[in-house]
Amino acid sequence: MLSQTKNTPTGIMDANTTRKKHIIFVGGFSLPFAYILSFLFEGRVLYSILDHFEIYFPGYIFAAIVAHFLGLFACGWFLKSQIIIQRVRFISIIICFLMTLPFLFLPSVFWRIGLIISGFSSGCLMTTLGYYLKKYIWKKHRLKIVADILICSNLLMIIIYCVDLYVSTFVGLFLSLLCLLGGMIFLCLLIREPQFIVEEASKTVNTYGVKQPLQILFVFVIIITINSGLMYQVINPQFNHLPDIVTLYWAIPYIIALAIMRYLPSDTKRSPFLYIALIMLMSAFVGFILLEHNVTGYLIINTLMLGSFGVFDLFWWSVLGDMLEYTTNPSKVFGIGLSANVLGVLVGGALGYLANQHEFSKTEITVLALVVLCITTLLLPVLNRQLVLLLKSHTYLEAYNQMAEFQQTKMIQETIGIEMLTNREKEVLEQILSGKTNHMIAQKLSITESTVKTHAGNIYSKYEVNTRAELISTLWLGRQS
Amino acid sequence: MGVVFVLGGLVILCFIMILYQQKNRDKQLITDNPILTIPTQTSSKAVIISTFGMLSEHKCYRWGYKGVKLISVVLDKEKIYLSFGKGEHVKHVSIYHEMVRENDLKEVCQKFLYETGVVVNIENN
Repeated sequence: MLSQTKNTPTGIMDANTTRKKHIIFVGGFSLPFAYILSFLFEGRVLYSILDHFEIYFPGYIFAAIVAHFLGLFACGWFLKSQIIIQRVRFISIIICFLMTLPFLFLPSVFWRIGLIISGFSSGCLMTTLGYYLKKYIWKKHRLKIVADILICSNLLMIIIYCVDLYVSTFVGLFLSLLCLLGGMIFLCLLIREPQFIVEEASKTVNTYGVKQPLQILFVFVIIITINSGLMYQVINPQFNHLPDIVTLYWAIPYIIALAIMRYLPSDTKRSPFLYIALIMLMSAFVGFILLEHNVTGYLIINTLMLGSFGVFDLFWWSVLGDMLEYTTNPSKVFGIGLSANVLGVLVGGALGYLANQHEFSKTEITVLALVVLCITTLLLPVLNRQLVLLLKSHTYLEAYNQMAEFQQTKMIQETIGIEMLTNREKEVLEQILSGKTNHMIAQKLSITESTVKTHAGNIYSKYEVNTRAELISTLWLGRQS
Repeated sequence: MGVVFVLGGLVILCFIMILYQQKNRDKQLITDNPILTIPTQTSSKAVIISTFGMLSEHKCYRWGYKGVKLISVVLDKEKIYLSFGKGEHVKHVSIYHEMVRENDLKEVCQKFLYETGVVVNIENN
């Protein structure tokens, strides 16, 4: 765990307090996430209960995942104030708990309805993580915190799976429910301690910069997790005859990959690991064709596949954590990012289902997966570029906001190219450089937003850039050189 | 076969709608940023000369877009002469402006300079 001293509004936070905060924070989110993984989101416990009663309703399971996606995607748009977020979190946990209780009894219509409602509620629950990450965790600690959340939740999931396999399915379900309650208790502990709250970021937030990187990240995550869906539908069923090894080993490579990425020195370049993960994933699908479906084959394929998912999951979870700095609605950004993962699994699952229906061969499935991975390989540099631009423009605005007013004016006058722009364009550029959104510029200059966008577009073309972030980056780098 | 025709028709319809939307957007942009508004006697709609182009009842000219620039503006006592275009393709338009006061002329000149960067040439003949 981390041990670092940080300033807070109420005083100095010692290492023990920081450690305590992180433990509570990780507990508050990894426990409910363990419930989602082990039960709700096509968890083993759910399937075990259905097998126990010899019933199966794939349509409702699919609907629950769709509901989870909707909860993640939509809920953040409405979560804007602290009170609403806290209430949503508590109510979501209670709803999930109540909707899961019927599974301890005989099958009924409440099973079907409960799955869908708890799917949606759990989505709402996870979007609140964005808010709490921004409020309680310093930006440079977020990668480690999300890694810890993912590691702990997967370890808990393995424990629950073992209980399900070797003790009793209903005890496994009971443990899942306990995880939910545990999450609520940890959250109460967190919000009881105001000294855990970190200082607010700069008041002038670079709100315009996150949309394009988030869109690209959204597409990237969907495409990568299509392979995850394919894995669930096509690869995993091939190893159902090895329940012990699948239960014990399935998430281990994922956890190890997370731990490796988490404990890397902070100055290590992480982007090469993404390409390594792509190669691992390609190799896993090739191995699926070539290897026998025995223990050795499973160990190799699963290690490559889940190891790569661990690298990717931590990558985009940490990118989302960083993006929270650039938005006034962190729940929305985080929810949209997580929903991409679920959508990818749905799409991959649908592809896998169709592949099974049409009796695709292993080779055909591997070719499909490799095509998906090629698209991912093409997208990765584009995503990297957008994220770097976002970071550069944020660095500029942070430096700009810390300057005295006369220094800001002087800097803008030096930066604006005099011959190239009309007076009106210079006015608009000045507002852009001070970090205002198009809407704010339109209000200040008493012109329409459409007019601002047109002037901005003309400015970009004169400086031969395509976006606001590129413009700021170009001018800032030009000034520094 | 029928599906192909329907899809093709939809594509063409979308294309037309996009063009129509673009035209409307241009008109709105010109209307929102007027430099000189000239009422006409023959119709209820005025001629609007703007930062981004010119709009009359029948025509919409856009400049500052896709390489088309406002090249020159000349004002005399009766008319305003505009030249705009791209490369060798230049269009010349003249309109009676009905401005009488010198202050009005100066204000229009300042607006042109501020919004478009073009220096207005005033002829006193």
